Amino acid sequence: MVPKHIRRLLLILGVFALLFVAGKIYFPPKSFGVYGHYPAASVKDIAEARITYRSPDSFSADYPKEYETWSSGIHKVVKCQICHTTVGMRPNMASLAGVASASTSATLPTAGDPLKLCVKCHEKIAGRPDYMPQIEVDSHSKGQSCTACHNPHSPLFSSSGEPITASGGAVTVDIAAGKKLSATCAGCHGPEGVSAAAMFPNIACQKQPYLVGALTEYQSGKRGNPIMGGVAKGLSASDIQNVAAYFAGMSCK
Amino acid sequence: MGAFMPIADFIVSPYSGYVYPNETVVPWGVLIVIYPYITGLVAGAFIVSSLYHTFRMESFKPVARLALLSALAFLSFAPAALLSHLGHPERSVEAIWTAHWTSAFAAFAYVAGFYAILLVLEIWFAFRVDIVAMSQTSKGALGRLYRILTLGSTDVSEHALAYDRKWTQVLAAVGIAAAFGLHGYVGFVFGSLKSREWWSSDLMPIIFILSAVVSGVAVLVLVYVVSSKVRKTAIDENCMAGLARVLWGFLLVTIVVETLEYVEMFYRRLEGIAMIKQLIAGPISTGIAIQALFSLLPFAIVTMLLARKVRGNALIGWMSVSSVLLMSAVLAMRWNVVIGGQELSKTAKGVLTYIPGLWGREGVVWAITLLCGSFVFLWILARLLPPWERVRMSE
Amino acid sequence: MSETNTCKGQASRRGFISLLGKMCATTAVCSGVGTVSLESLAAAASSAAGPAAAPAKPEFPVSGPVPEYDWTKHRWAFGVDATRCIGCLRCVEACKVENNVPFNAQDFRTWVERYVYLEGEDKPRVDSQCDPVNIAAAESAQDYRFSNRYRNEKVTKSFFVPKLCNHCENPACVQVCPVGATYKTPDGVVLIDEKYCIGCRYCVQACPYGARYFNEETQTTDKCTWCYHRITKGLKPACVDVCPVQARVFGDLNDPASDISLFIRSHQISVLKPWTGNGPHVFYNGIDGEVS
Repeated sequence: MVPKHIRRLLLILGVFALLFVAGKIYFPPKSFGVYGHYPAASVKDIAEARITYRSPDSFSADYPKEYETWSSGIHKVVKCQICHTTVGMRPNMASLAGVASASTSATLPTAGDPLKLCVKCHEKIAGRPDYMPQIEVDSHSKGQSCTACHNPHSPLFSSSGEPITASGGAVTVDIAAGKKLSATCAGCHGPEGVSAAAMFPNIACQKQPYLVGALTEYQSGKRGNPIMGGVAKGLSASDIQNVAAYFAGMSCK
Repeated sequence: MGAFMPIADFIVSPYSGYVYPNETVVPWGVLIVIYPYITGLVAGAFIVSSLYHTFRMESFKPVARLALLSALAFLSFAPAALLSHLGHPERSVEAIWTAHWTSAFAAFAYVAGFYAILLVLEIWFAFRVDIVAMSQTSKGALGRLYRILTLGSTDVSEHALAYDRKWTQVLAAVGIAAAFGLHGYVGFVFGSLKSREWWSSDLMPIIFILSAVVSGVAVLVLVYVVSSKVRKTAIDENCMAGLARVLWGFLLVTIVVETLEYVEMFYRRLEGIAMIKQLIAGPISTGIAIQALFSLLPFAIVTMLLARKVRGNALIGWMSVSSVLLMSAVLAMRWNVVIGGQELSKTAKGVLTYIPGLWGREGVVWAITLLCGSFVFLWILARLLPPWERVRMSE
Repeated sequence: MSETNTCKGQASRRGFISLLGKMCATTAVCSGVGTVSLESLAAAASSAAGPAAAPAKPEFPVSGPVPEYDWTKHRWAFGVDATRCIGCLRCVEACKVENNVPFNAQDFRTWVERYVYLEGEDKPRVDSQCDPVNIAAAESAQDYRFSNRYRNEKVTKSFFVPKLCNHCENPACVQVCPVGATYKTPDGVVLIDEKYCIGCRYCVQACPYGARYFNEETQTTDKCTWCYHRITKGLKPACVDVCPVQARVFGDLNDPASDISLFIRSHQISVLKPWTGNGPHVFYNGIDGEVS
């Protein structure tokens, strides 16, 4: 005959065991274990988080002029949010999130100090690959703000729309004249500078000073190419500036 | 007033070399240092108690029940350290209801729970005769407590006591395995992680168990000595000599295995060895020194005590000194492993220096409070269930 | 006397052992019951005809719980071109804004490392955007920028390496989570349930890449999710979208014409710490052996 205290003890342990089983059935979240050892409902919760970054195309209606300049220039790869972010002030992102699509006054926070902002990508520092345009900040800017010469939405052009040359001074070019001349180039390089044939390179969105330099070198024979040599010899210096400026403003995509 | 009291929860550690950006906040702080320390005390105390209850080594009878109470006192406070550390302690029961068995932590909830029940049962059986006696003599709320604890049975016949003895023996035997599991899992948590070179080692569970037993025996020695002095009772010399032997044995193996770990690490000279050298020479230099010296010195002392068959006050005095040193050494070892491992960057290119804060959850003050709290709780338990030979025990 | 004792002893022993056995059985059953919830038991019972256990709940179909998105049809992967990264750190900022990551210098879902070899040195100097020197250059812990600290040195080789969670095939972080708060979805993304995480930070320790951090505000662990809320709607992760030089690539491995498939085919790619056996799914082009 098992002593009373042992019987009582086993009874208590049995009650604990039952409570344990009950807990195992009752306590886990209802969606637990459906797909694996985790609450299935959390996948939906995570997928339904708010999307903060709008696509830049969604700003085309609100800022048509800036959008036009931006989307046809070399900074098309720089999304609006990169510069137009007030860092650290996360409540401001509500305006950027575009939650209400009917919001017509989707205000982009103004870009910070250009000299501090642009250098984040364009300062010449160790680690930056050579293909990236980089500058020694002090000697290039000479204390001026970047926007004094560069249009931030299309930095190969100045704010008044003239292309920037390598010498730093703005040259007056005639884009319309350049467009007229481009009819000749279109035969090989495509009407918008994007060629269809593999052997003819794209010239759209090439840097204007580069195109000027290339055409000049074809003209002088420094670059030897029978086709381009003949083409370039038929161009004047201002023709070269104009047609180069036209293609430089073309989109690469 | 406020500026110089750093809240311990978000300490940014300075570093040399290169560390991953997310590593500058050390995730496991002093609470995770003292948690394995306190569970280690449990394991050691319980092993001594089992030497009497399972293996019938008579020399440990004077401390057997004190050891059980110590084990329970420490086991009650170890979860407190863990729960204080968790981001959401109120969700900790999830580890029981939806335990993820691939995780070493998940086993903890079950092993610790099982072990706690086992310990409570063991204590109940060991003290049942006293509980029955006190239920009949005590008055008031205390009397009611004892009567509840008797589970309504005052049967202390030979028949009932035979059951008690059997249960005690089995529980103590199972308890040894459970104690090894309880503390071995802590070592396994560290040893099984491939992300940290300082932790990743097959020897880690063994080192943790062995050093745990050393610290547990040491704390038992101190508790025995202090309680005897306070109660002005004599200390059983055979018991103390027995404890010295146990201490010596486990300490020897601990020193050998810990040394082996370091020797292998330096012999292998894997990629991160330069940073490991920097770690040992830098942030944990004091800790390593304490761990080494305060392990070897007591080892020498206890060897002399045993070789020269020292008895009397000399034995007690030197054992007390050794125990204090060993408890410090084991605490230093926990620091070296837990904090040292996180100070060695996962990049193998940098070393951080973690300085714990004073206040806050992960602060030194709270850690010390928990540690002291366990001793206070032990004192309460000893008042409630006096482990000293008072009522005739038929074991 | 002895016979009575023996008889009693035998009976008591038998009774004892049988009771102990019953206890053990109960515990074993309980543990077994615990590994499946009542729901999945019901589900298994109701779909006895089908080969795969279809969950019984309508809002959790086999195609996944996200409406209008079938997670069995995608296998996401990420590519990083270290030859293109310019270290502008716009990705770091975009991620923080998109995903509510604390704006400090300690918690990052993604970051960029810089490796610089100086003349006469075999080992690179490594820094990231939260190096104190770089924080000083940015003048704020909330603004991210690499300083120009090597302007007076002779640099022989240098490059940037963006890093993020690798969404491994055998994630160590998922393995060590004690409660099942972090998991890998069938489309290859490792996620964290913020409402279930207990904040033990075991996963932070287990990740060999340092991709996880403990969010003090939510008191849970957090990490890159490949912007799951965006990719399930056909968008790219914020960091990929924002990168001005296409140093980050994201796409579906199941689609041979996707950005990532083309990236993998056209480069000699590598992964970080392959010896861990985690099987990372972020593929790098242009890193060297010193990148850990």
